[in-house]
Amino acid sequence: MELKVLGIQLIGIAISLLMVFETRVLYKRGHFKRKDLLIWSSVSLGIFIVALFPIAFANFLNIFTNISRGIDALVVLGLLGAYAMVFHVYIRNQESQRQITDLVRKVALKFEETEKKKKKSKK
Amino acid sequence: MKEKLAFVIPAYNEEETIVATLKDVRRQFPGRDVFVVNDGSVDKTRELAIANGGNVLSHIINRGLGAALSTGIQAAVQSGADIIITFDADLQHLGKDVYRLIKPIQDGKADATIGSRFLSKHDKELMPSIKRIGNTMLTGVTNLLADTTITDSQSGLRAFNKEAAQKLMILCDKYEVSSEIIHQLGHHNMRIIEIPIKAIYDDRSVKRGTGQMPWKNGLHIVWSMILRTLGIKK
Repeated sequence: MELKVLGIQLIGIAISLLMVFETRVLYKRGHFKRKDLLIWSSVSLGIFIVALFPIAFANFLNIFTNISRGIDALVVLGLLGAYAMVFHVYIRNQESQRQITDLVRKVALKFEETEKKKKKSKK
Repeated sequence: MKEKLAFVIPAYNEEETIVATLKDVRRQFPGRDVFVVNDGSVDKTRELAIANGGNVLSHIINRGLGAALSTGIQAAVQSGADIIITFDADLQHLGKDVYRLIKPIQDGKADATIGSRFLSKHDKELMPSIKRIGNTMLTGVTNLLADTTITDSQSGLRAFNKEAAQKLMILCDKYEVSSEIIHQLGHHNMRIIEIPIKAIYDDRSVKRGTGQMPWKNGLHIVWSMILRTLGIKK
């Protein structure tokens, strides 16, 4: 049982370190703003702390929730957090898709207008 | 015919059929505006459409049927068209059917007309069974959510008067646009009339469009309609 917990802890630590590394790389390349660096570094740090001290964090959560076991509260909060993130990404993706389509449409309409003017001036 | 007609033909990699489609439309309706929306094709669709007299609007990348229709309808409205006809580029439709399609609009009896492949029993049976089943299910859901009573929600042959075209705010980029159009027409209380049309199916047209992945596309259409009805998706 303890080994399993340790395994999950190691996975959590590895994920958080990978996230920190990736965040830094993206920031250096200019793909991330300072705000993104701060947000994702904080999320990574949070995962790192929870992975390192799961029992202490579960006991801490137990003070604020009615869920009988702190570890269950951790799982529930983790799922809710993941759901909120997926929803946020979905909304942002929809918005980006719409903006791309609008841009592609504007270019098409503008280009056709220019072509028409060219044809008229040739005549 | 005193009204100004404009055809909107969305086309994605249709080099095999675009020339014949344009010739058919030009033969039936010479001198009318034809807007071909080349939706990021990687073949010679654009060049062939230009060479055959179409006003070509080119999407620099592929955005889907809905996006292409929206671009074409916008261009047609801007050109001052009184009646706008959407027409598939895969030779599934016949130019001569358009006369009957636009008649109710010319007579002031309808704001929009849909070419239905289900009104004639004989033509209905010509439709491949997978398409027929999928179409019937999608039309049922569309009617339920849009409060309409049409028989062919997925038909690509449609006509709109200027007012209906201006009110259409197409937001779906992909195949769900057909249901979205019906949904919006129903929402704006537009008068819709269906006209029986003949559709021609060959191996190519069956495999393309929603036929590429019928169940996936069908579920996507239903999901989009539900989200829109619930106000989650615009």
